[in-house]
Amino acid sequence: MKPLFAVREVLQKQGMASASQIAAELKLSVGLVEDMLVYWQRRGVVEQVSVGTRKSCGRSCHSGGCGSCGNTMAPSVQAYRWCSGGRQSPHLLSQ
Amino acid sequence: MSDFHETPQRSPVSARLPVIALAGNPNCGKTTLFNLLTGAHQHVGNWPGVTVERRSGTMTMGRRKISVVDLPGVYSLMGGGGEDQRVARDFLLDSDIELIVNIVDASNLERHMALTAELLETGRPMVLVLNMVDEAEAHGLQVRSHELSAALGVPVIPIVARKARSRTRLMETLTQALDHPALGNMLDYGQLIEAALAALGTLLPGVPPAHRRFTALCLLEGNSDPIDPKTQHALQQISSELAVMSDETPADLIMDRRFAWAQEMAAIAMHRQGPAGLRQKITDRLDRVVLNDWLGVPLFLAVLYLVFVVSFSGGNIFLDFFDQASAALLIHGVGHLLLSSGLPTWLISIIAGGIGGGLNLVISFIPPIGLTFLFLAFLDDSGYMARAAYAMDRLMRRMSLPGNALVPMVIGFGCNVPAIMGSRIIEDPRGRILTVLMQPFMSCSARLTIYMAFAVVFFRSNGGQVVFALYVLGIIVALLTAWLLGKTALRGEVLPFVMELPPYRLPSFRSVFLQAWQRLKVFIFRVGRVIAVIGVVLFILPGIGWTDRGLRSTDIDHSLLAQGSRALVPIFEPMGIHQDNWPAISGLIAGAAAKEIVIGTLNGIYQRQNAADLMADYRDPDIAGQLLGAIKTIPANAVTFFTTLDDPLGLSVMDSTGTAEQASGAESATLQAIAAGFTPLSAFAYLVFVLLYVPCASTMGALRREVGWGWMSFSLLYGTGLAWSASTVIYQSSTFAKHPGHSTAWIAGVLAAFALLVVGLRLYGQRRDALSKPSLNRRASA
Repeated sequence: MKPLFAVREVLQKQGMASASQIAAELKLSVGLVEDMLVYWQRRGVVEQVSVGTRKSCGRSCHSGGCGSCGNTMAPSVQAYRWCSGGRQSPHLLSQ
Repeated sequence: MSDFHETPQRSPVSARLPVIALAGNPNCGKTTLFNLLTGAHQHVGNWPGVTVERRSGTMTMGRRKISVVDLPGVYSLMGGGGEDQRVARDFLLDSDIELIVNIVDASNLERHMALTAELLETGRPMVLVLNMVDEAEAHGLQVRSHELSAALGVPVIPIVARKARSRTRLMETLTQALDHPALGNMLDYGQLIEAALAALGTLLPGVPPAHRRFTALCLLEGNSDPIDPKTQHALQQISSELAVMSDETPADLIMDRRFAWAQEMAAIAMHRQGPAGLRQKITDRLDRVVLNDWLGVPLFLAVLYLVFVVSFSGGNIFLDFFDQASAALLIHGVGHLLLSSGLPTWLISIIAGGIGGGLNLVISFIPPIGLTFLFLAFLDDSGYMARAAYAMDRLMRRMSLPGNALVPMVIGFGCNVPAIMGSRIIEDPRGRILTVLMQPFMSCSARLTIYMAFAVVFFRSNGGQVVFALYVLGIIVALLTAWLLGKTALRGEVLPFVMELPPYRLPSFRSVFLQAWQRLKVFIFRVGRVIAVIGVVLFILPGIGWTDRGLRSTDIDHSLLAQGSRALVPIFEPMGIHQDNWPAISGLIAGAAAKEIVIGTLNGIYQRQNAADLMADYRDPDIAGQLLGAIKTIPANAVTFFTTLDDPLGLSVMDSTGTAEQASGAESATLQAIAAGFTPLSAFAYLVFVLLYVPCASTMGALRREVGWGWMSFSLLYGTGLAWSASTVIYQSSTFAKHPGHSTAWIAGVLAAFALLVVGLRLYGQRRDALSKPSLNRRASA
């Protein structure tokens, strides 16, 4: 596997994702994925954003699936967004 | 024993002493190792950036004095970072160093090995120190330093610098490494890059041969400038050729190889073991299935199917108990008390029959809905739901829906109310509204009783297929509705579904119970209020009617329900319901309260069994007997649950008229009356209408709460219009030969109305977009 390009492809496909989502998809460690995302960030094709999430009822819920979260927002998730207008590699420009 | 002394900061490193440079990422334990080697007492902190300048000390190994330089943490030799990282980089690249000691965090090896790859490229002798192996072991990782040493070609020492573990072995290794320097195996970047490096190396005559490869790498990565125009021209040419051949920039190719190498080295050096290792292995294997492109979605559907089966079949064990016990107490008990207190019969009817009946309806929902919430909370807490939603995201986004929209859809097969409330898992407001508006089209378990009764009468041999077709039709209409609204009234980009994937774990009972209770509380106290109010209305309608003496209590034949139904028959004639079949309309009206009572209403009307003399029940209610009967339903229903686990939809009951009657709640004479009132075609059109028209009162309440009055009204009108249109088109197109002109007019009318709806939705969407743009601009300028 070419991990750096795999990370790029997942993010291009998803548009936006957290490092743990990408790591789970590619079976890589979250730390390594974060490093690769930082590399793409330096290349100007990825930006880090904070995404608000629904809060759970106060326990350990992560998806808000219990539905009891009302309007309260939980601490945001650090996500990475693909920027199509960024400084791209020839691979991307040719698409 | 070594003799250590500390040199002042910024002191020049003595040229006479061999130099060992401690290099590594920030916070990997360099200063701790420096203190361990030199006996110094530099401040150590558990955070990056403790060392911002290089400092040196000396150590003695045998009779030899050695200078040790502690460098600031650095992530890459290629650039980036602050002044502290530049200090480290400059020293590692430009100073005379006898040995680089690369310290890496063994518990986080993949991240730290990227620098190791670059250090190997410098062509200097190196020793790799795997620090914090105790933490790695606590994470279930077994360190395999010999294997890593063989792969890297340099000595590898596992230590715990903080506890001075393996210090002696480290000193011995450093001594040997100084005597017999090991340069290590350089990373193989693949044919293309290696050829480019070789070609660039020939253009760097001024650079010492040992540094040519590293310099060429820096040039290819764009981290240093070519020394002359000739080199610059060659570099541009090589980079262009590489880009054409690989479709990637040289820098990206090099970095990709380094990350891949770091991953490979970490895999060689670390072996998972023990409970922590087992947990990681389980997580890896589960994720391999749960997040698999092909298996993730079917597995999720299977899990939700199980939730559906166990919640609604299991909930049915207690459903009759809740239903009958609450009816005994809230309807008959309260009716008896009110009658004893001498209140007028009409007031008793409204309080006991209306409000009590409404509450009875809410309470009877508690077992299946409560169980659904419990299972969902369990899945959520276990860490599975987050992964399942992520796996679904890819599929659902193709239909302009967020990935987790499928969760409520599948729950909707059981009951639309928790499905609508479950839509809160969708963060994007647009996606949430779309998902909520889809739910009324999912065939809930209450609709199944109606399907079964009609299937038994008209489609005996292929009833299962008809019921299945209705389920599929519901899904198609739901998806098409979302697609249509997503392209017109609710245009917008589908927001990616972003979340942190939590680790798998065994949920705690307390957490699961609390989450389930929070949701159930919302259902009972908020949605229940709406059900109770509509229950009152639908209790009054069949019990009173216009008589010679005005509005009076009457039997059901002369009730407002019957009068209203007869008045509405002309509207339903295009879908095959004629004047003499007015009870079918009454069933639909009653179904607006709860789909469960459609067949009950038909039953009552067709049998001419009115329940006008409720007061007789209130006079002598036998509450104790009813409660006992309610308790007896639990074991009986439990037996049914375990014997029908393989048939959760209950389709097998259609093999026998008797069991189907029992399942649908209709009596044999009712089925005969249904057979007389409908043709198979009009029956199918009627079932399509039942599937698509207004949802039950509980669902209306949930709709209003989740998307407000406006979208709730739209949902009701759209659903009813769609139901009528679909049923009319089905009936008219199938009877086209009998009255072509008439059918053409109806079908054309339906299509024209649909076109108008699309235009209206588009205009609404455009207006919505126009209104939101200035607001966005204002926000952007702010």
